Amino acid sequence: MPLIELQDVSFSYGKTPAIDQLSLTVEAGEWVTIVGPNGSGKSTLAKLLIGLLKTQQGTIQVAGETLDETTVQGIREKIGIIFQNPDNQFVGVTVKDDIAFGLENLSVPYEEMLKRIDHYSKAVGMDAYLDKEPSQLSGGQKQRVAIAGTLAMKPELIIFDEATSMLDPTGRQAMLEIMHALKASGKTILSITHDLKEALPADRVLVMHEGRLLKSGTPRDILRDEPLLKKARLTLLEPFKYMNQLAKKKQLTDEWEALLWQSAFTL
Amino acid sequence: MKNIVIGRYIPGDSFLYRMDPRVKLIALFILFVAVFVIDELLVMGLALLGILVLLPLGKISLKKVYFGLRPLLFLLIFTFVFQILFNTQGRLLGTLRLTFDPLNVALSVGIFAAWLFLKRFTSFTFISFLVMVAGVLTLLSQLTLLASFGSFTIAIYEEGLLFAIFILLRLVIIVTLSTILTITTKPTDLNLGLERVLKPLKIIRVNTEEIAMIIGISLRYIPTLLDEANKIILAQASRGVDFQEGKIKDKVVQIISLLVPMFIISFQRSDELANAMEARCFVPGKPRTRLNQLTWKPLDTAVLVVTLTLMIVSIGVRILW
Amino acid sequence: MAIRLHTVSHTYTAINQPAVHALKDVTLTIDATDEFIALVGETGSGKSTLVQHLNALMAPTSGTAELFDVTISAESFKDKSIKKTPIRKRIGLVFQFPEYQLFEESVLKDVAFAPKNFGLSQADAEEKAKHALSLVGLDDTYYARSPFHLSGGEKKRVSIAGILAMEPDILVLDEPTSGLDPQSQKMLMDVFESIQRTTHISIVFITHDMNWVEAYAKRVLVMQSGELVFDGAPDALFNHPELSVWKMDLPDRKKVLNYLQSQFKLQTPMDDFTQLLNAINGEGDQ
Repeated sequence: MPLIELQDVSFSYGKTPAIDQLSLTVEAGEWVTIVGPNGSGKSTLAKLLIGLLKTQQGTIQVAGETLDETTVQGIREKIGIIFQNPDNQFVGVTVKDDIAFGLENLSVPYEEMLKRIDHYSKAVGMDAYLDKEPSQLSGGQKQRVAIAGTLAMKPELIIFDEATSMLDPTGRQAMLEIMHALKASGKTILSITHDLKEALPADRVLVMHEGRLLKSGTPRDILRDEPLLKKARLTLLEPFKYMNQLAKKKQLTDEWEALLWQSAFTL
Repeated sequence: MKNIVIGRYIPGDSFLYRMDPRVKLIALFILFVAVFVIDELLVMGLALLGILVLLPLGKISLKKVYFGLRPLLFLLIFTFVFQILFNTQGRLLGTLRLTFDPLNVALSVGIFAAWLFLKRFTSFTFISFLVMVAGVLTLLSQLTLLASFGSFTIAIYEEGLLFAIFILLRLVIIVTLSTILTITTKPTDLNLGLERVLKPLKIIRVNTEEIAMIIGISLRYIPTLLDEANKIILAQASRGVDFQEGKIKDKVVQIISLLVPMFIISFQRSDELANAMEARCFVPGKPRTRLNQLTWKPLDTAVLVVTLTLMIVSIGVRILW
Repeated sequence: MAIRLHTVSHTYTAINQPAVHALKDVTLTIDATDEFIALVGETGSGKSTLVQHLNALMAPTSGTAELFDVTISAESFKDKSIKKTPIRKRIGLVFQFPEYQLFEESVLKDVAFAPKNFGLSQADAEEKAKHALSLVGLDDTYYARSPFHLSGGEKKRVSIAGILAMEPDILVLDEPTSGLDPQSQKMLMDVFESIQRTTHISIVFITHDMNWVEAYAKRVLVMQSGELVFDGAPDALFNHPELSVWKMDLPDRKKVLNYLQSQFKLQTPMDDFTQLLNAINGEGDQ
């Protein structure tokens, strides 16, 4: 049974469809990256998954349960989400309060709360900042706090909705490392981005355009597909340009392909 | 903008910091009642003395309290002067006859202008203001060389002066006590304390938890808002808006150019924040556990006993005096 | 020289908080024509503070900023007889978030706001606004639209037009490409390049993306903990031994080529992939 299953889901703001008869599945333990231009429906999809928006057509199933008003709270416990703007999701007055926010909502007992704050603030490397206020933190640090607050609720799936787009390279790198660690610990990751570097480590890449799924495939296939990426307003990463350059001259050997693929991870 | 102290927590350690926020709020309320019950200047003076003793005990410097008082200085002076000028009861203490002639008026304006100019370079704005006022008053009352074109007599009556001092002391005490509360209490604790103290209001269907949540989030976003307001001012200044100058008509546009972005950013923020809260399983009205626990210590009982005693004493003094 | 910063330091002070030395002895000159400068550095390295000194939004705590014919120092900044708005007209600064400045009901009115502030009539201001909008690639279908209902990239372009409409001699941009999708980013950078080429104004832009530095900048300034640690050509920066000390990235192209070069154990650095291929094949032939 897939962890997430969408069937013919549609949603529109007013007349313009944001999601247009979309069907897709995400398996437990998978790292799926969704890429697409601004306005392709990526973020709408994330909001539909956690029930912040209601599907106007089709069904969403999470771990076999159909998302509706009666199940939405249970499903939100299974899905955590990190949004784009670090400042607009920091609820607590201090780091500690913010990590505790979700736990308080789940009525986690006090002792257990302390344990989880300790554990997850260490997991994201923010344990030295527990009493700091958001104004004393960088954007990247705030995002790490948001991750700790989400992880503390022990979700099965974590959605990163453009979570790195407002960060500097250092902040972005730290986030990627956390994502790798999450994947290794068996969590399911759904990352929504227009940074193709974040598609490299994924098991599967979905390309969205105008509310539809243009293509689903492995990063190796998708990242080389120039016409497809162009349609999604994305630009080829350097190594894949070289791959296509070699392929054109019919010189793309398996060795070259492996080498260039490897070189992409230096980005 | 960064130096606004009203409602700001300043980290430190003393018995004032260690008290339970509930007790601080209740004690503050009790002391307010006591201060309003006092009707004798002498007792009010004693109360102020008490506060002056409390500050070093609680390791709070006068400077911090001054920063809390500063935004209200104008209000304090206004109340004081108003009482002196318009309360005409009791014995006449003295009069100051101000005579206006072209020379002394011109000199007064000169002194005022000099003060306006110099105050940018001095850090003692308030003291220099007093010096300026004293200078102008001396000039107008003592120096009349040319033909005068008008006069005004300031009469100070005993009752008026005493009452003005009384009111001033009362305001200073109230503001100082409130400042002590906010300086020594973390916003989260203050908020939680408020929620607990207001809990009895639940009987009349006031949702105290939601109110506390709203206050908490507001507190959290005040620094962000100030920071943003500052950036918007700078962004508009880059487009030629001069917030320090301009005609009234320009002023209106300037303020709109500041407020519209602030509103739009705030609306967007509240939308995103609501999403983030809901995504983390927040359901309004649903019972929640709390990370911040309040513990009632012997210190708290002692403080309550002391403040209650003070209130009873002040009531007793009022009745028996 | 249009801009001449001389040992500019800026310290933020707030009660009960340690002083933050955002700028330390920065000395720097910027020409009024034909500069294309990238300003890079980690978050908190002082980039934003620096650019606010370039158009007299801030005064140095110590040191002086000569901005065209006006000298700004801690003392002269307080002097109200020294007008700052004329400086801000000649050195236009675009903030990172367009949301900070958009407020009028239509795109055209919003872009005309600055020229009107500098005393132009409504008609003249709108003329300038239309020209500025055409420079950033927004046609007349946008004039009547509300700036709040545009996409992120369009908002950004409107906010840039709002500064360009003042016809500044120098255009300073704080992270102009952040938050946009890759093609919108490239489109915007191309817009700056064409503005620079056609009007010969100087452009300074803050970025975190070394690909843009490599592709567009003629000169690059590196900030680290409030100090200006590098001022020179992008190529010189990428080959600088202290690059990693400054926590600076290489552009993607360099990273990949360096990796391949080390895999093939080639000695000389390669400029592009074709050169690399030739080098490898050349070796194979021998």
